[in-house]
Amino acid sequence: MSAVAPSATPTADPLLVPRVHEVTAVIQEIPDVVTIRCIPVEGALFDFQPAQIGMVGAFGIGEAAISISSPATESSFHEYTIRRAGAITSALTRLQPGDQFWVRGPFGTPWDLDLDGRDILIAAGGIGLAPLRSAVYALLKYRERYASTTLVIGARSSEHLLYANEYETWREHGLAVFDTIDHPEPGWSGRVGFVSEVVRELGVSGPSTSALVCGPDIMTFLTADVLVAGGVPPEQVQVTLERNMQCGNGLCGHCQLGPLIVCRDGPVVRYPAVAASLRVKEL
Amino acid sequence: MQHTSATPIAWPESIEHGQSPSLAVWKFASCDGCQLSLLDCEDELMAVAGRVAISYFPEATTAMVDGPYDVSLVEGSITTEHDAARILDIRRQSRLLVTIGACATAGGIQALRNGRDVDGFTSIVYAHPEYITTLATSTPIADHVRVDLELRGCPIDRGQLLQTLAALLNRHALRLPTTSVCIECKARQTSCVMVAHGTPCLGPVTQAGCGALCPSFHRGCYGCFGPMESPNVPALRTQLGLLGLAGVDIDRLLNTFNTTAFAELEQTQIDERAPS
Amino acid sequence: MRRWLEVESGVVSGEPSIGQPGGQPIDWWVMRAGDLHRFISLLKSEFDEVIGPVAVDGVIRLRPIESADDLPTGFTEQQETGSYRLLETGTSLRFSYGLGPDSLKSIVHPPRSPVWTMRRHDGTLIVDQALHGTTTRAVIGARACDLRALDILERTQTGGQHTDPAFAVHRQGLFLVAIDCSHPAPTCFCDTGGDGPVADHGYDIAITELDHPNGIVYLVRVGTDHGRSLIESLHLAPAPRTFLEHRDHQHRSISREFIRELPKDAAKVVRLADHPHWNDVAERCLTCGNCTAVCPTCFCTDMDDIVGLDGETATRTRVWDTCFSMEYSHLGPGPHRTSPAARYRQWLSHKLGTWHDQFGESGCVGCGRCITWCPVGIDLTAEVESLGRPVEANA
Repeated sequence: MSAVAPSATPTADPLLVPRVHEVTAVIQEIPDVVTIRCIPVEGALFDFQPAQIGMVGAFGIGEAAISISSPATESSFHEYTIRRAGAITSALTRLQPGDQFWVRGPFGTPWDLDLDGRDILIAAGGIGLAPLRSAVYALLKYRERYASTTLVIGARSSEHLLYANEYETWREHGLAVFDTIDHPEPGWSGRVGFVSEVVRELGVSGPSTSALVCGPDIMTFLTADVLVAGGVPPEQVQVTLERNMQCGNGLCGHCQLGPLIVCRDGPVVRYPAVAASLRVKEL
Repeated sequence: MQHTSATPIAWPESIEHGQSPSLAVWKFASCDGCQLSLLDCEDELMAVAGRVAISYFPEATTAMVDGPYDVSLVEGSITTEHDAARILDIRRQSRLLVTIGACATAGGIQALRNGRDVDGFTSIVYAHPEYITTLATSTPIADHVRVDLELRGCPIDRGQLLQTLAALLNRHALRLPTTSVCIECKARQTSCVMVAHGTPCLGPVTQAGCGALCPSFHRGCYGCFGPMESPNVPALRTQLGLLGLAGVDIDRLLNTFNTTAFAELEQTQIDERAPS
Repeated sequence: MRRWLEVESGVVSGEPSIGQPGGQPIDWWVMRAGDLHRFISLLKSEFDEVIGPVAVDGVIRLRPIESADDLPTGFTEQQETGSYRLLETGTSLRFSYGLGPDSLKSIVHPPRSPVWTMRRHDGTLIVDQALHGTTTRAVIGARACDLRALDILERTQTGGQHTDPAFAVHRQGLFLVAIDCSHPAPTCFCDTGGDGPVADHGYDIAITELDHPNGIVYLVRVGTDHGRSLIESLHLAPAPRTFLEHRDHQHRSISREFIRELPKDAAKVVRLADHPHWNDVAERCLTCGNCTAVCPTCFCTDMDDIVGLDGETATRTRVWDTCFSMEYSHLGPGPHRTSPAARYRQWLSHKLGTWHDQFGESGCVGCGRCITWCPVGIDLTAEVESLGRPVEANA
């Protein structure tokens, strides 16, 4: 009689096994923000849905949770738009073509884009447009499914408007793009004011509206409140959450926001699920 | 004492990967124990001998190369006017200044003199006190010059020193814990000396990094790594009192290796909590 | 002594035993001290490691054992808020103690666990995943609360879409010998916070140490086929009914010993985020993380990446983390939960409240370890009670 020895085969879970990628291009976006274009060193690109995230790692530094910003239908590369903040993102934004790094993913809930016949409003604050970029491309690919599509993008200043060189193309494909900056500046003839205010002024919200919102916590709930006050059913407001995601597979505990484990239950959630939590200080 | 951030530290651009940074090791008022921790890393350092230029390290080598230096490791506290001037010069010559050990980061055990009758001590200890020139205080390096990084402890932890050097040589991130000693104590499955034996221990208010060395030898932590990220000194004082320690003994425990660091925090916390 | 020989042969007159040798399967067996030695020897031959309670450094801990001689015979302990003392009883009881700081978590979800080694060579990254040892372990001394906690911990690490490979391997190699609790500590509250002191599932073998007027015996039952095959190989006698009645009596008297309780509606703390009592706890809380380390269900982990001096190898180790750490809630600009009040609130609200949302149950089993091993003796049952009072009453 002997005990059955447990197996010790390596896991194949893509959330646990880092896949080495190589940088093929680096695009300088706005100050302190770059987009890294990459391909896996071995095997095919993994599939993902808009708003899904990869844990992106730099050798000897660590990992950061970065949403995949390239169109989900793009079959020749993935892109990650990264803002330089701490040591990890600093190292990632220093990567050059040919450099190797790794990705674990994809994980997280995607945007629900099965919104046929509805008026789509996308509201983004600053780099919050990154997880929405793949949604924009998905919406425009099937533009005829939706009644209207509108994007409100806000930034600190005009030089901080992310993907600004793509707005014209998006407009040509049927997306009404409204860009706004926080404060007036010389040479800027566009809108000035926070995203939530512009959404209110545009009067684009109503019972037929479905909204996708991504930005800092405060921008998220201010905008969501404007939308709900304008008649958008709260369930029709999808928001993304940002918390300290470390494992990406719901095992490490870091990214909790009240009842939610953000890497598992988010980043995209319906507004009623977080309306209260987002307002609690230090939750 | 500065608070070491657990956030990875980005090294200055001047130390580029592949170059051999020059290293200088300086001694102020101290026992040399932290420098010995560096010498104790001999085996590991041999592996990277070609990648770091030890330019000034009197404890180890007689060769002395003039500055400037990429990195200066500074041991000891400032106790004389001469040293107070010397540290300014070292700062000027150093791109990165790292203080090593409780003396350099907190003033050390010699800071027990602070606020006392130093002339009286001198006359008791020395046969010819007239030969002794000393300041009335022992102060940490950061009281005199900007410090880029602090390695705490009496002595410093060998592992932390090696991690620092590895990060420095390779431009990698350095992550030093700022949580309590208890975290390391529980991780190594040491039985809590305070809860199980009633031994006074500063572990709950002291920063991790030593690997919970003293409790693993059934001794209470004496706080040589200084305050952790959110030390609740008044709460620990209450508990130490319940364990039977008199106020004066609690003071002595708190103020020995990190002198006033805990006491100052405690006073701040008491003030914050006082009803206004 | 003659009486015991009769028992061992299973032919005590006038005392019908449960199950018939050679007929119906036996449900309860009797073990004496000598049998216990044989049992542990058998476990030693069956498993790579046998872990059991050992009195070491003034605490009863779960450690590898060589034989039944290593068990804490004649020891018990006294626990209070922030205090644990090992005591000698002068009896021959081996399991007459309340829980020590170790739970099964230390075994299946150890403080440090290797994840990968990454090497960089000429700009190329090569990843070597860590393989987790296939060591098989028998653990003697798990209590009902430990088994319950293992279930809860297992759900967090293997119950979702992703499985922690280290946990899965450690759990698969685990053989559990539960010991019914005969000595709940004053800090315990498993009758209101968990499943109660008697192990009723989740074990391979369960043992009751019976302090019988005629001497100490061990009543054995099994929970798995593996457990049954091991016990049957010892050829023990079936247990007479009187022993089982004595066991019931022993358990009933234990149930009266609980002095702490967790209110049924403890999950309500989630809705009290603005309660002023959180600040009151924060004045006492050291934010040291001892409670999360000893909690048998606290599962949070961090990754420790260490780069070699050569700069070409980086090893990743998964380490226990704690929500009492500032770095735990790090977001772009810095820690999100800076105040100790917010950190204690996160711990308690998660443990008793949002755990239900995330995993469908409470994260607390009532073992009381966080109460004993808190250096300043913070008692979560008392904190829940204070949070339950109207706000005015707290002022």
